[in-house]
Amino acid sequence: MSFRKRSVVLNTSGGNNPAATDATAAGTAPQSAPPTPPAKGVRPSFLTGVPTTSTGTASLDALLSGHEGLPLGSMVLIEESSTTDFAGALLRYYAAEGIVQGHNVVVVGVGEAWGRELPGLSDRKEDNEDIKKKGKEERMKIAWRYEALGNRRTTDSSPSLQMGTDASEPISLFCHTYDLTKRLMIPPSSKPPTYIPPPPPTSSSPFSSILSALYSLLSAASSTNSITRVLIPNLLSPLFYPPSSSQPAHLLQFIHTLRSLTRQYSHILTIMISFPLPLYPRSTGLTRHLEHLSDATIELHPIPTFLARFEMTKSSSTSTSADDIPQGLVKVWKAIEGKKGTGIVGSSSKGDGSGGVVGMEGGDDLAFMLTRRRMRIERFSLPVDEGDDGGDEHKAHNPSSTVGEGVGGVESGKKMHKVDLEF
Amino acid sequence: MSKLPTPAEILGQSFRFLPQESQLLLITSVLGTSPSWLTYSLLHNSLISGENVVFASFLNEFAYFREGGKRHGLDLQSHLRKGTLTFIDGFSKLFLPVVSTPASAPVQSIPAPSQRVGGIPPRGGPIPPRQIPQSAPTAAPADPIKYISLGPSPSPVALRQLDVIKTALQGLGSSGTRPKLVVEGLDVLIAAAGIDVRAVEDLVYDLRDISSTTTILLPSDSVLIQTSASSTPLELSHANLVISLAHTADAILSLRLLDTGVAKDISGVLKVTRGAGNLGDTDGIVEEKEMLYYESDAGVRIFARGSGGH
Repeated sequence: MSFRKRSVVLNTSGGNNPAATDATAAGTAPQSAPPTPPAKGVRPSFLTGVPTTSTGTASLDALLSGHEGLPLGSMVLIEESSTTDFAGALLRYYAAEGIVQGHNVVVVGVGEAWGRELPGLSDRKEDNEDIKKKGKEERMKIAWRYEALGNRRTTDSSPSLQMGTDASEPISLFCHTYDLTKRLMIPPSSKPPTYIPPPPPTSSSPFSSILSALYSLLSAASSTNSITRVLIPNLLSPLFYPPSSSQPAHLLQFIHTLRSLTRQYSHILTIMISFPLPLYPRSTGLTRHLEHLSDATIELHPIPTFLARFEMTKSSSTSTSADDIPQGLVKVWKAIEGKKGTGIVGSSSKGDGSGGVVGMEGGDDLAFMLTRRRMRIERFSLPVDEGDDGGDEHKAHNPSSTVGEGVGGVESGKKMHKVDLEF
Repeated sequence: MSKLPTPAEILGQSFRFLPQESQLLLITSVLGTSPSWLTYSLLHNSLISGENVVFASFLNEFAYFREGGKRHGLDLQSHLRKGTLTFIDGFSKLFLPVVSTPASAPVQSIPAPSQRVGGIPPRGGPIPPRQIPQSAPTAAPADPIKYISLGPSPSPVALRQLDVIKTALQGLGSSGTRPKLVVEGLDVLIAAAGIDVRAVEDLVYDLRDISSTTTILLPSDSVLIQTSASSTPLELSHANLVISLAHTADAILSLRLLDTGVAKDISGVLKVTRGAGNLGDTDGIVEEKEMLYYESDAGVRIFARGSGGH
């Protein structure tokens, strides 16, 4: 079975035998590699072999239907159902990863101040080591050939190997670790982000200036084959966008054009958009159209931290560190298309053994944790209730949690029963 | 090769009851389900039996369907070359400024999608820089894909651009039998291009007249079709389109997610409903039923509720 699957992928590559691709690689790489190595930060998908790039958040990469990266030519919509800015953190990681990898980073709508707050590379050695170790552990259960791919978190491309191991290590990583307390120093080899200003307040077609700027940037990038990341933080936020931009015809035309651009420049372009749900709830047709037009839709749903902290510390206090306190839930409304060519949320990351840490099989709840050092998305489950009178507290403090409610309900029921007997 | 259920399997007995002329099939889906496999199934069935098909999409480019079809053993490219399939791309250039001359238009877009699905790049090494074809005059006349471009600010006049669908249908239907028509993403015309919903409905009416079976794919999320007093014009016109088409359709195939949440071996629910257009004046009426479906690497499997498993 699995071997046949493999051959399907190979067939899609047409008459491209390895020798031929090697030859072209050898033939063309010397010309363009020294100034802009085009494949830096790009690796083939574990699932289909399409080139993918990292979102800068390792656990978000793992969430993308088993591709273990964001396929080039796709557009991700990050929705945030609160006035917090967790989506902004994801976008900053995505931008920072692009800068570190030497990609074109295009920031739309917000000013340069946004870009000054990009997180710097974590200098903690163990962070990167940790990722690699974790990656290896997770991949132990995967067939050997996938495991070999898994080690490509460090792409052993020949130029970087020739350099010293220490120096090359942060360069050859597919996904880096960032420290939010630091500021990214733009390395000399990278280009600083390009900023496209928000539409002028009085404009009949608010997005046309953005689009024409994008056209010229993309056609320039396409001629040099430089990977381009387009970020649109807080789309439609009234801080940056004029009221006319939220007219469906304007917005959806803009998004539709972005979608066609991702297809036209599918060899270099990825787009990430964050979208404030409190202003445009998911129950509106506008938001739903937006979701249909994007390739993946992920909602961050922050929950009050005290609640989460209470949940976690109440359980076994042994393994609870500040890192393990979730700040909210992650919902994947539309998964990126996997090998099956479908947008199924549920089973897209199973079956190929490449689901990674965060499978979405069986509708697992996902939670995100943003700490000083990194953002993680993990499986979320309510902890086992250990305290004796935990049930009552649970009920009092967390009426929304079904598990808590169940336990509390049962316990109070028992108590009532006892009381009844005594009387 | 992965397997797809045939339309006969999906529709059961009803399949042969459906009228063969001016039939309207409506396929609806919600966010998180993909109706593409139903499209492939219908295309496969039509193309294998030698019928001509016109396929228009406002949501995806041809490369997407070519790759998707390949997974299911459907070679759309060869049908396109043979001329039995006409693909109308209302996606790639819909809102792009109309600067490109017709001759240079296909040159830009044809290489790009194929690059995505090209060979697996050599692992570890840098991806060889793709060559941008500078001139492909040979491709231009042979390019069978037709493009619809309304320009950045669509005007009512731009609606005439949609006549390319009609021309394609008439071009294929010259041999006595009328071709089939599959249209995806008509809602884009209303939501993004600002075209009046009545104009789109008129268009569908006209198209039905010159095609044998019209299949229309539309999203039908509840927020899009359940209207209330506070609904915006966007939601109202979408609901208007879906519901009015449902009322004239012969059969409606709707895909939705499992009501009880995500399951490992079920992708969603496929419901077959009789449309108001099917009043039993032909041989029979469409049998309404609901099935589960599961998309996997081995294809798509449909099965009755409860008989899941294997």
